[in-house]
Amino acid sequence: MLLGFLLLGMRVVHLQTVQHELLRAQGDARYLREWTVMPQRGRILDRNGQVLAVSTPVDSVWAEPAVFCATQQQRQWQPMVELIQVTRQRLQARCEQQKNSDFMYIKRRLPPALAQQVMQLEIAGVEVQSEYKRYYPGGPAGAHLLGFTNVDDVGQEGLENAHQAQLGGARGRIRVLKDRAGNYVESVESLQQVRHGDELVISIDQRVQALASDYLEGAVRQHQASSGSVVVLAVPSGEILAMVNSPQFNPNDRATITGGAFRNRSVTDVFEPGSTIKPFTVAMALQSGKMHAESIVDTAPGHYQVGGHRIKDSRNYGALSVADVVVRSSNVGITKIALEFSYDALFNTLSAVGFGQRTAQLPGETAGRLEKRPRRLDHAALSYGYGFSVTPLQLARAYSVFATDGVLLPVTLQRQAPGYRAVGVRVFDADTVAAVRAMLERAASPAGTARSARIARYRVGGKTGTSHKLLHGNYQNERYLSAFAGFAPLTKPKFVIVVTVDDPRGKLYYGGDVAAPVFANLMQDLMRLYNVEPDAAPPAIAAVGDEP
Amino acid sequence: MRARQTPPIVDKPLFAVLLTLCGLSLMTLYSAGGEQVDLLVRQGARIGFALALLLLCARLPITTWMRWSPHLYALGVLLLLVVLVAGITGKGAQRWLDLGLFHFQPAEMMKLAVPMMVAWSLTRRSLPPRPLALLLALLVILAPAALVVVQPDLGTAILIAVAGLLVIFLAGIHWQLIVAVCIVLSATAPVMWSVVLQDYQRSRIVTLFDPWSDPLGTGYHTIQSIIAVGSGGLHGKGWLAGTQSRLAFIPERSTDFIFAIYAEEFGFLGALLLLSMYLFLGYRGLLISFRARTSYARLLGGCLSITLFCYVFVNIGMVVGILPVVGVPLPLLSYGGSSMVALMVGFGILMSIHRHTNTISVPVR
Repeated sequence: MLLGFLLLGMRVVHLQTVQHELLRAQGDARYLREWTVMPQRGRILDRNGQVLAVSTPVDSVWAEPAVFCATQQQRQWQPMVELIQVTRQRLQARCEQQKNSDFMYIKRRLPPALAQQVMQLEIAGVEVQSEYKRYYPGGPAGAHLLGFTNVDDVGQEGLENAHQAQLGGARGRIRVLKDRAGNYVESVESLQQVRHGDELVISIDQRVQALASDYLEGAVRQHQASSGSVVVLAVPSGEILAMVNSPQFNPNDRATITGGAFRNRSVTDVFEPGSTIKPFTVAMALQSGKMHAESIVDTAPGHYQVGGHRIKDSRNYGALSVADVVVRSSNVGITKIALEFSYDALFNTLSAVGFGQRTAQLPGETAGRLEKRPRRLDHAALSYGYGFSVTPLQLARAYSVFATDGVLLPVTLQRQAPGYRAVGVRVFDADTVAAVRAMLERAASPAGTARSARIARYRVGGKTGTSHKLLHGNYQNERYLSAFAGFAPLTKPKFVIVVTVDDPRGKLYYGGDVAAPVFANLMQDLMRLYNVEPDAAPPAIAAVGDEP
Repeated sequence: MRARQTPPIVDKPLFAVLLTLCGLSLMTLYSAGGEQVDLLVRQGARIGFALALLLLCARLPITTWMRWSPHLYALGVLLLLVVLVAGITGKGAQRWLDLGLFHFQPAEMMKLAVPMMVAWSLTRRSLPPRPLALLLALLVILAPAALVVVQPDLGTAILIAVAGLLVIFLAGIHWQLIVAVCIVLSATAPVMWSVVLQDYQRSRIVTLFDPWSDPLGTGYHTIQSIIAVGSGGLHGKGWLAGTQSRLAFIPERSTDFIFAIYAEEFGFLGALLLLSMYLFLGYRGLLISFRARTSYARLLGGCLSITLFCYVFVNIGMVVGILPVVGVPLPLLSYGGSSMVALMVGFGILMSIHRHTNTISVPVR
């Protein structure tokens, strides 16, 4: 009898001293678990604090496979299977896949109320994890720029991807107690504090973004175009106020979208800028002092032979002043001006206004293409915007030299303090710019090619561009890219807008007809939204004494 | 000459240790049951009832117990028959009688009634018993044991049989007979293994030797309780701080596996104290029995003391993984009424023997 008790005592000693550590570790393994705490991704706000992207809480239901997948457990699945609409087969397949893991998802991103209902079924081993789902209140308007996140709320495209480190935060780890049924009892310690993401404030104005989006979509639809972009820059801060593209996608429901719709065409796609480049050629000529606005260029008979190639105008304009070359958009005139100067002088000017270089380090941004090819024909082509390619953002930035008094502004998506003046690089003298601005105002008048760019009570300046599309190495006769680049108010420009509409298939295809109206509508709204002081007289409605 | 003393009703050391164990029981149950007060109240009421019964039983002279032995035995057999017909089913077995106020398990009663009956029948003649008396005693043992086996409750049946056989053993039988029984038992062991034992019973024995072979099935109880005991270490994790038990990893933690909770929370020192108290109870019981004046008292008292040892050994042996898992509660510590009452009545009888011994011894000296 004593022997029996001795035996018991020895066994207890053995278990509690010799095997103590091992058994305690075994014990801990049974009730201690490490769980992940998901960080809440930082919001993205526009310049006025409007929310562009926000992570809303959702609940993901998960389970510990060892408990949840046991055969006798599977009988308890039914009410849950009906509640959250997952198939039994799928759960079983996942069980099989994850059987050696201690974590498997049952269903992700459920509304918290529904997840609560699942938990009330008290199925052993089933837990809820708080996660976040990205929501974009602005819908499609900002989608290309903002990009999106994946199912783990990690940025995949656009700003979401570029600013992942700032927005994403860091996951935390907590140690929790669970009971035999595998259910959470309490959290005992925090192993790694969760770090929620920081906010990102960008220079975009969601109001402008939405308006730009509407006008662009309208133009693309009206002219049966394949795509388009609008970029709005603030002067003199260099902030990007809006950047929209067509076709759009809904960032809150990406299920049906194909790859092309994701592109932020304003920075990823390039086009030959065409006539929108002519003001730079002219500015170069004026800057040299060899020419001035009233110098005469003979464009007769409306075409001009360069390197075995005939450069044509839409009609014979005869003798034109340098200013009228811009206003009428004469290819012959601009070629003759350019050929008065060296190839390098023109190339360097275009390079100085930012073509061929990335502008703002935006996600997916391309540098465009500006390469030295100093043949005579290439020299001529450069002067009217062929033989190199630019992005809409590059073109908008280049036009900042006319919106300022000759300084190329750095562009940014960072919101700047009110009254901020970006430190740019001077490209042209103020006198040169004043002369070109006057030409651009006339270009956007009944005398020019872009009369529909005008708006009430403000003076605007701008230039159209209608370039033949280069497809498979050949310029297409009836395929165009229509563009307009301009700014307002002319006396002290505050905004630069570039509009491109690619491949309009309707009756109208000139930049002045397709792109300029988008510019005018948007600029008019901008003037109102930003309370810009008018610099033109109100439209004279039958003012007394006026000429009829 | 010493003056005639009023003999004490209770044996004070025995009673003190019993009360200590009951206190420990309530503490451990409070922890094991997830700090439920009503569980505590129920068990407290049972302890009170059982202690009252102990005092009552201690007052009855041992001769009265002897006279009642056949009647109690007959009542017990009758109740076992009733259980088979009208018992309450629980946990896959039909073991309980619904008496309105509480559930009563007649098999528990037989743990006392069988040794009493065997002691009674053997002491009617001179000891050591003759073959015919032995055969009769065996019948007295096996009949109720068989009734319990069919409930089915093999564990309790074995304990009942062991109690009866202990009395025969204490009555003094020839060593050749013991050897013969041992030989027969080991010879029939393979047959028992394959014919008599159920699958679940066989797997319990297999898992005893290698519980990790089926850690989520039959090995689960053993592994979890070993882990709990081992987690306790020298000092234990402290009262109400045993994670294994409180997070429900230990099955049957209020009843059969309560030692696992106790050992996890109070550690090796606590376990040592508990084992010492049980050892003292058995030692004290044997001491009282050896001093008893009648053969009946000596046989019954010895049997009760040794069966206490057996219960403790079988239960703790099971919890620490050196014996197979059988449904034997830990005396006085486990939650449950019938077992508590049977034990207290047994201690009451021991105290009655003690008191009887003194009453007689005083005038003689």
